[in-house]
Amino acid sequence: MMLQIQNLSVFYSKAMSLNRASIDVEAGDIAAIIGPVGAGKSTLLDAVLGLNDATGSITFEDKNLRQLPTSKIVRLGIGYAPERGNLFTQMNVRENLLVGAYTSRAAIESNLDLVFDLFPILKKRQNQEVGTQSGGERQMVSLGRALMNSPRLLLVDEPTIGLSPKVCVDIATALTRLNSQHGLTILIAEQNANFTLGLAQYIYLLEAGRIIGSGTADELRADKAIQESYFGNRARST
Amino acid sequence: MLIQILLPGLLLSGLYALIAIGFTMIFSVGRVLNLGYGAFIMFGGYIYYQSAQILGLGKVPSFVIATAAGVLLGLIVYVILIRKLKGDAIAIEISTLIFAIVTQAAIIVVFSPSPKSMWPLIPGVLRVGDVIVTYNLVVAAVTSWVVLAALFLFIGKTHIGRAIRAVSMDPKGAVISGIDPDRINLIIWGLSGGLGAMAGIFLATYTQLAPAMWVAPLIIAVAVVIVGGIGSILGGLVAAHVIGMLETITTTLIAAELRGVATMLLIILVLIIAPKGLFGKAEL
Ligand SMILES: Nc1ncnc2c1ncn2[C@@H]1O[C@H](COP(=O)(O)OP(=O)(O)OP(=O)(O)O)[C@@H](O)[C@H]1O
Ligand SMILES: [Mg+2]
Repeated sequence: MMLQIQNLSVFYSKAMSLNRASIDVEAGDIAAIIGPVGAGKSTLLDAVLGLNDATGSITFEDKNLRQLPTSKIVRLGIGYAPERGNLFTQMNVRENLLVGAYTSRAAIESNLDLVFDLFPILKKRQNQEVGTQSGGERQMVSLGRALMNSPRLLLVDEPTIGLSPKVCVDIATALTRLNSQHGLTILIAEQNANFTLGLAQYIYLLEAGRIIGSGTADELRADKAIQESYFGNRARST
Repeated sequence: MLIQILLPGLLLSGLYALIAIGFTMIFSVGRVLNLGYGAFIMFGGYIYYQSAQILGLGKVPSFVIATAAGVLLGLIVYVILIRKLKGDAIAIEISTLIFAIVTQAAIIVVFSPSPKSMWPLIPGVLRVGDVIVTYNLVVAAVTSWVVLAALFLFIGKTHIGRAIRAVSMDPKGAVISGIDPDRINLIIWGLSGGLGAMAGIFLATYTQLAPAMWVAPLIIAVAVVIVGGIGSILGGLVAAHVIGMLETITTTLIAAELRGVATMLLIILVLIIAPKGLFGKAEL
């Protein structure tokens, strides 16, 4: 198991944002966490990076991540494209990518090639300040920055939020290629169940901080109750 | 008449920019005012004095020693004080202010309260037409510009420099890129201590060495941050030159006693009309 999360709980002051959540991500998979607004998806991904106070256990390739500082966790080979991007808006695209390469300087050229191959528009817009870019372009910079540290596991928080269907397809294509051609293991957090079902091999359902179900895309599609609360009519129409 | 103001004003501005940069950098990265910054300046001046004028170690070695001592002081202040306060701005501001006052007391004990006059770095004066400026100020200004240019290259072109900018723009984005913010802060405080000490050598030879000499440069540095815009190092450099000119104009045309007053009035004016500063955005 590449990433193993057991009984993870996170409290913000008194409120419990994650309640004994357990998740496994197999090497080579695309896994996903689906959940509504405020379910605790971002909280869970942040906890893997050691960004909040959590209890429970998190191991990556059998190494215990708890108590490690974020910079060390990143160095172990975990890339993170967080919810709001957290990009450096007054730097240009290339500089954002170079910051991402902070821990992987020997591979800068090959990683830049990879990112520009996945997102050709970024190559054309290398010198554009990120603060002036569109939402879709920023999402690509965010993914690109996470790839620059040569990760083996990529965590992606709501990659489709606020993006047009066309850009969603581009992002999905890029994630699929990273997984199938480059062997990258990916964990996606999404509200958009339809996007995720087409992409992920294994899916967890998160609600109010608890994992309430899990299965392969086909298993979840077959489950009537889940079908109704999560995929609604849109799932049937696609 | 114009050149009588412009030339000394320009040179003084270079020195002011060096005085302010170490303070601005800490503010950009940590969003906290290091009110003890003046102590780095004073410390540099006194170490240089001790080394060059008391021990006779020579000007260049003394310059290097005082700058290195400033780096060390910056690192020590970060490790024993700032790191423990975990980014709590108010706590850092209060304790750095106390640090400056304690440093002043220590200097009085070691060096006596009386001011000391410093030898110029290079004696003599430069005449341009009927304008006279000391070689000392010329050396101070030119060295300041060279150091600032080197610092800009470092911040603009190196991995560490980019990491410094990254932390100042988006701390979360920086840590998830594998940057250790503690290490970046350590580097910034060391740099700030060294730059402050260097500025202190120039300031002491330009004015004099005295145990209260940490206050005036602190006001200049605060003015540069406020006028230049919160967190903008480039804006800070422009602001330093505006303030240097302004001071030269008031002291030459109105009265020498007004040094510092115009700067403080400018702080208040900017706070009222442009609270984000003239170049206010979060860039370095
Ligand atoms: N720093 C914080 N302080 C207090 N409460 C927080 C904090 N961060 C998150 N929460 C709360 O924790 C819960 C889970 O938040 P989280 O951001 O993980 O949800 P999410 O599933 O990512 O939602 P969304 O789809 O809207 O991004 C929410 O109720 C949120 O209000
Ligand atoms: Mg979220």
